[in-house]
Amino acid sequence: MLEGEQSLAVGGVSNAVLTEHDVLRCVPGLRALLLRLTRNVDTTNDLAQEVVIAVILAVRAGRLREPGALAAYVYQVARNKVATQGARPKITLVDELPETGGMWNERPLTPLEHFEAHELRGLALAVLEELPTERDRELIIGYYVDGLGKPELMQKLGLAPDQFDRVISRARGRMRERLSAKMNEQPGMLRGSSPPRLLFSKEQKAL
Amino acid sequence: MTPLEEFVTRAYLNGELDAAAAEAYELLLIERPDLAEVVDADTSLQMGLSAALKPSVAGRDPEKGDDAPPVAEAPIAPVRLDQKVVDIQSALLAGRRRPFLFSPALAAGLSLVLGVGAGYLVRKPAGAQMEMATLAYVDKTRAISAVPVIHLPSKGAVVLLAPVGVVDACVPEVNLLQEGRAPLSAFAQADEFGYVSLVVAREALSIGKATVEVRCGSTPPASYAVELRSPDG
Repeated sequence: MLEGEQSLAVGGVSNAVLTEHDVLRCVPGLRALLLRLTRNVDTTNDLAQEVVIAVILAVRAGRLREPGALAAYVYQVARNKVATQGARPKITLVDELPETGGMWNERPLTPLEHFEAHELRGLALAVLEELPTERDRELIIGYYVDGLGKPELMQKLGLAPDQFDRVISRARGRMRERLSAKMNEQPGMLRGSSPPRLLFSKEQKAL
Repeated sequence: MTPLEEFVTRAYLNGELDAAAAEAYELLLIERPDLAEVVDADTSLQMGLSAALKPSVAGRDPEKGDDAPPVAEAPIAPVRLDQKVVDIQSALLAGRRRPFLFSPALAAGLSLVLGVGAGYLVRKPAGAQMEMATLAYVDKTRAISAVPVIHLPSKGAVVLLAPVGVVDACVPEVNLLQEGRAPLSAFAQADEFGYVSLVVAREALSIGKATVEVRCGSTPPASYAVELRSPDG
């Protein structure tokens, strides 16, 4: 068992099948999905925590036991959380909340959790500027900023499908590299750059 | 990441997958941090560029640096012209097929009330973009075992009111099953009184018996028979 890993207990009996770390390993993908759906970093952070709480509670209640069902469960809860975003928060009894504040801090980090807005803008602009041709930059702006479609941009810029894919893939790859490099520059600072976040919102602790 | 995974990832990010395939990819995404990195890069590129190059839309000056509001408040990405619109019903049907150990968490006392009532017509004011609709509502709690009877109008839209009690953060799926017709499905967010409002075209409804099914997740938690009648039936 990894350091910090705990078996989730159901009624005091250890459940050796799913662990907290199994749930936390889903966090990067969960966050990527939530960010894709919401396009909002703060909302993504909040919803990711809520999803993790819901999944852990489900495991503890015995509603989720099979490791093979974990991803589907996380996915469904995430979809539901996004759909009910803005609705009245469900009230959870304090006794039902998992004591996972420390555990949450052990989750796999993703770059976007710690990037300031201006840093993200800077990285995106750097990726744009390092593209070799004006046509490539026009393509990226048309695609990501103006929301134009692939066929329209291909026609407008006289590109073949593989050329289009190559430019977009290069930009994505460079953004991924820059995010990763920036995050790895000062890993210690990144982890401590923001105050520890409470796993539970005030609303959830209402009772 | 294999070449096939790269291909599918690109298709997903380009919005070229249909709803079922996109859902399958997102399930994989949950399990694969390496895929999450690529998706994050794409999303952050869009968010970063939009925040930097569309200050008028965002209402912000990107040159302000730290003083500028976070990227989190960047406008939602515009839908690309070639992006497939998610087919909610297909997604729901696909979700139903998943081997999903999801306790539906609908309250034991969930009740769906659907019915008739005296409909009222909304007159169309001159020049306004509104259409006539008939409100169908029956308080089933007064006769819980009775089969609600819904008197349908001859044409137009029908608004069905159904109270739904849910536990957990679940948006119930409401299905109207009619013999000889494809099921009508909707994700229905309850209002503050626990009611969902569903709009359906009269043409999509058949006179006769039907079943209303409410579910949260993959297990049908409740279903009720209803009877649809003609206006004079």
